[in-house]
Amino acid sequence: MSLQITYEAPLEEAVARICELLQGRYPFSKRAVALLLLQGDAEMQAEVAATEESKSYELVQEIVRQTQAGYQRPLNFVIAQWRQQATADLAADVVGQQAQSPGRSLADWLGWLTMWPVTGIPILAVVLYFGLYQFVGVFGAGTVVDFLEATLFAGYINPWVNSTVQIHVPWMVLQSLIAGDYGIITLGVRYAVAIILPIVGSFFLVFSVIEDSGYLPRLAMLVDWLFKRIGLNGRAVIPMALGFGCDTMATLVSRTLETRREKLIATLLLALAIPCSAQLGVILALLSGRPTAMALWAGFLLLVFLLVGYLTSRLLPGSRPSFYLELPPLRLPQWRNVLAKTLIRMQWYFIEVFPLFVLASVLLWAGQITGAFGVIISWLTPVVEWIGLPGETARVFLFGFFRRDYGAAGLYDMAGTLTGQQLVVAAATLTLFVPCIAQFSMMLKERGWKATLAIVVFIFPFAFVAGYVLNLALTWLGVAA
Amino acid sequence: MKREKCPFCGYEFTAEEAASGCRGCSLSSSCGHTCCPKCGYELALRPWQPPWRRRGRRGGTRPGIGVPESTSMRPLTSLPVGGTGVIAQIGSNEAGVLQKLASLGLFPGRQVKVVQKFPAYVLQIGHILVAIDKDLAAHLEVDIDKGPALDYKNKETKMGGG
Repeated sequence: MSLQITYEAPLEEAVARICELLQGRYPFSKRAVALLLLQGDAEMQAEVAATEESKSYELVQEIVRQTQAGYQRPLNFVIAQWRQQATADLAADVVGQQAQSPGRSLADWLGWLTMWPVTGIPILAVVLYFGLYQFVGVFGAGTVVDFLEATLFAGYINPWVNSTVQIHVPWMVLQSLIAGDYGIITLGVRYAVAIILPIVGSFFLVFSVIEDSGYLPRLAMLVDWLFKRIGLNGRAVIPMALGFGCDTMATLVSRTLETRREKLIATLLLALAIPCSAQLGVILALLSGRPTAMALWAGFLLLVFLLVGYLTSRLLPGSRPSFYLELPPLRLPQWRNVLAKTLIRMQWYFIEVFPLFVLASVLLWAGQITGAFGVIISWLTPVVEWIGLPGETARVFLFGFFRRDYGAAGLYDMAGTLTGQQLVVAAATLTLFVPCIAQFSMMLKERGWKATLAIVVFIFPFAFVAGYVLNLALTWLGVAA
Repeated sequence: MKREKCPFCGYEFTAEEAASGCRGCSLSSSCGHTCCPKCGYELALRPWQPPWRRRGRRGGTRPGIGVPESTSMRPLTSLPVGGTGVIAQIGSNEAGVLQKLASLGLFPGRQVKVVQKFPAYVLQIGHILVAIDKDLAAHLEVDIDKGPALDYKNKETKMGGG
């Protein structure tokens, strides 16, 4: 059974006249095509323009223009209004409603508490503390990584690979490609499987739970006020929150934002100030014993995020973003859905990341063999020393060039030799520092080479200058991290 | 709409007209100046004030002021939390604004209840909750006496306007 809505006379007339003109074959009825044309649907316009003779398409356009001239409001709004009326009429015949009980349900109460700023912000802090810090940082990046990394790889796999390669592979060059400090298995696979995968996996699990509970739209509403100040609207909280999982995926998701200006600001902030879960996990684990250092790092990044966002929104021309979103009721997530989502995301991440890890270790191996690696490190060493870090951290920054999380994982390896202040400066600079190869290619694809180049040219010096300022400020204030 | 007069060439223009000349300028939203669209002469709209002074001034234009007591029509933004009204008018013909409001079901004739006003407006329409920012909410005018015209509880009434 189909239901046809009868619109008012001018609209019906226009539909009839357009239907007469349409000669081609379409996937929908001619009436549906005519209505889409009246609503100014760009896809349908293109299809009709391609199918019909140019003369009749011109006539169609003329009819649309004439019809629009009879209305103050855009036709798609008028049509939507008629449809709304028709559905309301239909629902009145078939839908009944029982008197609601006066009390609110638990979900209603919780939903209300998450929206009210006075309780909403503490709830956000609790979600961040348990979801991000305790689960991703302490459990994912701590317990699971310790087991896989220290016990499994360092204890069993790496020694076995090293000795096997030494016995069976004759050439030194080939040996170091597979095993040793920069080997595909001992470095690439170890980082991907033992450090990054558990962190990303635990983040995606938390994110799926939060996503399915209906909390994100409420969070968007809560932060809209703040996000307006940085040229974004509350909706941008979704790509931003996803960025704490994987900035590459978040850059892809930023296409859901409305204007080019918002997309550009979101892309810049994702590349600059949002650490991805791998980076975040490693940094949280690094700084977990030092609450002051952690607070300094988080506070500094928040400051950079807001400041750069504010300045960019001031400098980029364009209209104010607007915020509109439906707030679904809070629901208990279903474990099947959550697990399925997590697995799909982990799969996406692993397929996207794994080849890059292998590629990165091959590049590092090539750099090592040819000596190019040493040259780049010698260039980076004074820069790193300028921001108050030991020269050896140059290696970590070079790793960060290949993958953000790669660099963070490198920092994890040498954590014992750094002071608290050096750890904060290194972690902050590394977070700000260039996006990884995957994010870079996604930026190229989504924003074009001009915007990408501008962003990278801004970020590179900015990260080190910010690190320098942070180091200076910490020394000057005498804060012991 | 307030009209400005250019002290240089005498041309009178509205703020909207002037905004077309300022488009593309990165400081246009904050400089407090405008340019005459005819001769390009720059004039100050108001003396520059530090942000903390500006806020004080904004507080003066409390919503609801200027609405005659007798009518039941008022801007949605003047309703208190918990207040209800039927959308009577959408004060914009901009396709972008209308499309956003329509996507949430905010049409003339629908009854809305203000659930929250800060950080954004949260409105209850039928069984759903929607959030819109202050800029969008400012386009809506409601009638606080009328019953809903576009609700499935009383279907006789037809929508008004179009």
